[in-house]
Formats: sequence, C-alpha cells, structure tokens
Amino acid sequence: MVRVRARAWTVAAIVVVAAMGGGCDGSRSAAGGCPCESADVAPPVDTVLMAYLSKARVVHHEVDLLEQDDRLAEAVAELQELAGAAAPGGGTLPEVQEVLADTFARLADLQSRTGRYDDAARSIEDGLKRAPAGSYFEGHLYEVRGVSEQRRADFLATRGDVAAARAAREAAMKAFERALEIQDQVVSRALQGDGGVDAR
Amino acid sequence: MDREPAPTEEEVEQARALRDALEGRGDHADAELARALRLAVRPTELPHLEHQAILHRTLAKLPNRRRSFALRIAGVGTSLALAAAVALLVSRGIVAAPGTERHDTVATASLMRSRTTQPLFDQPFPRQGGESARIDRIAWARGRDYRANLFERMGVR
Repeated sequence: MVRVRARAWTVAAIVVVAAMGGGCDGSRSAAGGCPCESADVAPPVDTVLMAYLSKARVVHHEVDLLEQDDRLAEAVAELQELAGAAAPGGGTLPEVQEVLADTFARLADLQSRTGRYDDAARSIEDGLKRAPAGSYFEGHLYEVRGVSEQRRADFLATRGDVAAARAAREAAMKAFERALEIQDQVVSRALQGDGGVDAR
Repeated sequence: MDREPAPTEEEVEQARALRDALEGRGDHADAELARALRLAVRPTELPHLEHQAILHRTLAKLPNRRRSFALRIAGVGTSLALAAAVALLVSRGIVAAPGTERHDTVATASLMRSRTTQPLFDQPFPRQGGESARIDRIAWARGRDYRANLFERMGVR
C-alpha cells in the first residue's frame, strides 16, 4: 500500500512539475526564438562555417593581389572556384548565401571588365538567387549589373552598334534605379532600427 | 564599429590554465567557481553507494516512528526532485521531449547561431572594391561567436 502510494506521488509530481515547466524556459536564441518553439532553428556557428568563411577570406585577398597585378583571368578563375565549392549547410546558411552573393558580384565585375558581358550577366543572376531580398548584397548586385551594362553599352557604341548600345544603356539605367531603390529601403530600415547596425 | 581588443599574453595564459584545471590538470583560482557553475547547470548524479551510505547514516540515528515519517518525506522529496530534473532536462533541451528533434548533445539555447550578416554593415557597399574588407568583417564577427560557443559548450562563461 505504501509502495503504491509512493508511486502515485511520483507520477503526480512528475506530471505537475513538467506541466508547470511547460518544456520551455523562454530563453531566446541569437536567431530570436525559443529553441523549444521549432525544431528547424538555425544551427550554431561552428567549425565548418568558420572554415568556409576562412577559405572565402583567403580567396578574396588572393584576388586583391591578382587584380593589383592585372591578372584578371586568374582572379576570375579563383572566384569561380569559390563559387562552385562545397559549402556548409548545403550552401543555405545566411552567411554562406551572402558571401556567395558578394563573390558573384565581384566575379561579374571582373568578367565585364574583361569584356565577358554575358558571363557577367549570368553571374549577377546567380548572385541574386542567393542575396537576401532588400539587403545591401542585393542592392550591390544590381549596381554591378548597371556598371556591367554600361560597359557593354560603351563597347557596343565603339563598334557602331547604336541600337544595341542604347538597349544596354537602358538596362544599365534600370539596374541603377533598382539598386538605389533597394539601398534606400535598407538605409531607411537601418535608421528605424530594423536593419540593425549592431556589429555583433 | 568597436573591435574587441586582442587578448593579452597574460589573458591567454590564464585561459589556458583555467581550461587545464577544468580538465583535471593543474589548478586555477577560478576553477572551483567554474565547476560550481557547471554543476549548477548540469548536475552530476550522486553515486548510488554514496547515496545509500548517507541515508543509512541518517536513518540509523532515528527512532522507528520518526524513521517511517522520514522515509515518507524522503520519498516525496525524491519524487519532486525527479520531476524537477525531468522538467529541467526537457526545458533546457538537454534531452528531447517525445516527438521533438535535437540538433546537439548539449543545451543549445544560448549558442550563437548562423544568421544574416547584414547588421554588420551600416552603409551601402562601394560600387567597386571592398569585398575583402567585408569578408574580413564577417569572419571576425563569426569568429567571436564561434569562440563564445566553444566556451559555452565547455560550460565556461
């Protein structure tokens, strides 16, 4: 009898305390939510992400040196290798997406500087697939698209292809306007405290 | 943008000594406090034999009626402690509640997580150049998060 009562006490106590705890301590992760709320919360910053960021950092600094030596074809190859490399989280982590967006923007700029305007346009498209909507990364990609189309227009104009040059100029203008629109949105949000300037 | 100053040699040495002390090598003035904090968050189980010995020592001193009462109190107390432990383990994510998934083997509530780097930049990017400076900043910021997570996983704040 005493044992039965003791077991009943145990079960009752577990139920009551667990119910009071609710299985959630209300703590907030850096991602902004209680980890108990969802199983698909962003993964913690770990060694693999750090290794990837380190690799990207090395590549961009190498490309700086190659650009200084005017070795643009090698610089393009380095960036293409980084863009196609395996990335943590299947390339879906926000940091990876943004680093890739910036990498594609740089790649497009170098490609257009070497007269590869169509390749540059493709790189911009690849970058836009990764840049978060309404971010500096997205705005920068449109800006590079504008610069690239402007270079294309200048090139076509020197060849006397007036109609194509005009079309490229219009594309450049459209891209610049879109870039301005996005950057204005980001700046406004940042000033309202929504874009955040917390350099964590 | 304020940058965290690089650790001094003394700070690095102190951190190394504290880590060694927590792993059972050598001693450090803060090791006892760090252990106490770790045990407060993740208490280790009292060995069964030690538990029995404490109970025997205490109960042997009591007359029979009081012993019976003490046993009941101990039973209720144990039940409540067990319930509290279950609630704590589930709420801190140390064990998964039925039907939930777990990403890590340690409590992850306070770990710094992967997230957008946009807040690291307070103005639009220059039309050309600056990519290396941007990746430098991203790597530096996430490096800081990574170190924080490392200490968190080791149970050191």
